[in-house]
Amino acid sequence: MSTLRLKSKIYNLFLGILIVVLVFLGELYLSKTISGIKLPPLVSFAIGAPLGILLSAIIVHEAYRRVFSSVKVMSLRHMVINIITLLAILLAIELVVLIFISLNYLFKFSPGYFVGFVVIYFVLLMLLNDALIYMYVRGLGGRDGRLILVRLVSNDKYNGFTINMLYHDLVIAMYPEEFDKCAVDVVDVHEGYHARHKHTLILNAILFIGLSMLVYYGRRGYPMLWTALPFLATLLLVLTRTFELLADRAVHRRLGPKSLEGFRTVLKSLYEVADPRRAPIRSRFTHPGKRDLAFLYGDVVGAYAPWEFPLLASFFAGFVTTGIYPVPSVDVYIKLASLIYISVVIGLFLLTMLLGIVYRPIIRWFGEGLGDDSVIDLSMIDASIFIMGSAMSFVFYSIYHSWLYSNITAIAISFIFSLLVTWFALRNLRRALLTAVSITLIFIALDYLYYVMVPLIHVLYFR
Amino acid sequence: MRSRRSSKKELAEALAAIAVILSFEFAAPAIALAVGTMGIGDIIAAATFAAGFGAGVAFWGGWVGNCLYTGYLAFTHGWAALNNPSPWLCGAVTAGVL
Repeated sequence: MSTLRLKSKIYNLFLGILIVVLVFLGELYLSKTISGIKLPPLVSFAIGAPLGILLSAIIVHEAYRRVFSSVKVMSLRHMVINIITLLAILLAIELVVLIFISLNYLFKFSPGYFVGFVVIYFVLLMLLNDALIYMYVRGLGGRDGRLILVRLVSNDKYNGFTINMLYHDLVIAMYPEEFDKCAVDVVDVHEGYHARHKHTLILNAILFIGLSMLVYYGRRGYPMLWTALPFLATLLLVLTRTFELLADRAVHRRLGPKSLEGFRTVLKSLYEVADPRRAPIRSRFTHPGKRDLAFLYGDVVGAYAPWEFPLLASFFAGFVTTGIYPVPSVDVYIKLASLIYISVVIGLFLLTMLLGIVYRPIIRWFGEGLGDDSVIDLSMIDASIFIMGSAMSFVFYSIYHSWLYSNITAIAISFIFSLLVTWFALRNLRRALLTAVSITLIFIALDYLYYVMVPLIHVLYFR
Repeated sequence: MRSRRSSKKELAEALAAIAVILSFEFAAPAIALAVGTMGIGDIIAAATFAAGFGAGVAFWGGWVGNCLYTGYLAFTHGWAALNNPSPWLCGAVTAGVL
């Protein structure tokens, strides 16, 4: 990397941090200034929501203007940018309206009616989005059943984007006039997999239903429910990365190991690097740095980062330990619960990583033929399953009112899930069974004391 | 991609991790006792809950016992039904065979 590029990167980083700090200070100032003004919720919503949506639309428009800057035909370029901005605006309006009505009106519903309402709302609005976007792109690009494929000719860049709607799927692929066939196939198969399996629609559904349920229960008196937010964010992140790896594996299955060469061409055209580990962080955030393993060997497990499942597990355990109780909204309770949340998240993250290191020789022993990366990732995934399972014993306690049943159920569920995941990775029932039995026994032996500690946290709330 | 690292090193790391986990687990209640977050009574109460001897007996004696008894009844009744077949069962089996 040249000094000039490094300097420009550092400059961009500082600019980003400066903008974030300024926005935060500005919000602080504004909130102090306008805290004296009391407006009805509907008026605040009518003023605040359009402003926020306008800001996000400007950001989205600007970002995609840069992404599509190498597209040759100006009118097509604007059309594609407008489609993406239109979808972003529609989704933002729908999400904000859902949050507003959940906060002010829907919290009076019983949980069943509420979830039913949210699901119907989501389906109807996704149909509406589908109709609007379809009207916009009708006549543009090729049609293949539900798939609408828009091909753009760029100056030098290969890229692809997928937008899933309830019925139609829109794939935007771009490549230069004199293209490399393999790179185009990589883009087509990767985006085609996203399109066929409705990946962005699934992420939207989780976001809409998850956030609205948070607002619903938060309004009904669960003051520690914010602890679900880090979990939800991590869940969406891990799911996104999983979807990307599955799409990469689909490319491997279609084109074989030569797909890596095509992928390298795409990467070089975008970021001027051949190694995905050296791609910029905005790409590696959603597309794992080790994705060349998925292209070369079809190895999805090995391509994860070792930290992501332990992070998911510790946020989940923190949420279940503190978030699901209707503790009184009194300062001392909130402080205690927050302290427990922070220590549970940090402690269990470390515990999961350590447990993964303990599991690693066993996975290596039974997982004949797994690569180094797969061995460590599978150990971490199995360790995360056990930590999540042990956190679930809190939920089971609210059903059984006995720690013994809860712990037995938690262990049984952890065993079944670890068996399932290990079988998915090894595709050999005998080896998977041996692995799952061994790691379950180790977990019980090692973490008996942990199970003794679990009721103690509960005692702090209820005695 | 085959694994290349020696498993001895990994085994040593696993043992070290076990040592850290155990000390971590014993340290947590010790710190809580020292700070005064909880007393000896809490430890005893929690250990009692976790051991849950009475609940365990109820579980294995009740739910699991009933399941076993149901299986026993199904077995004996099935045996009786096969040894004293009704005309309907005879008819069904004959029709099936034919």
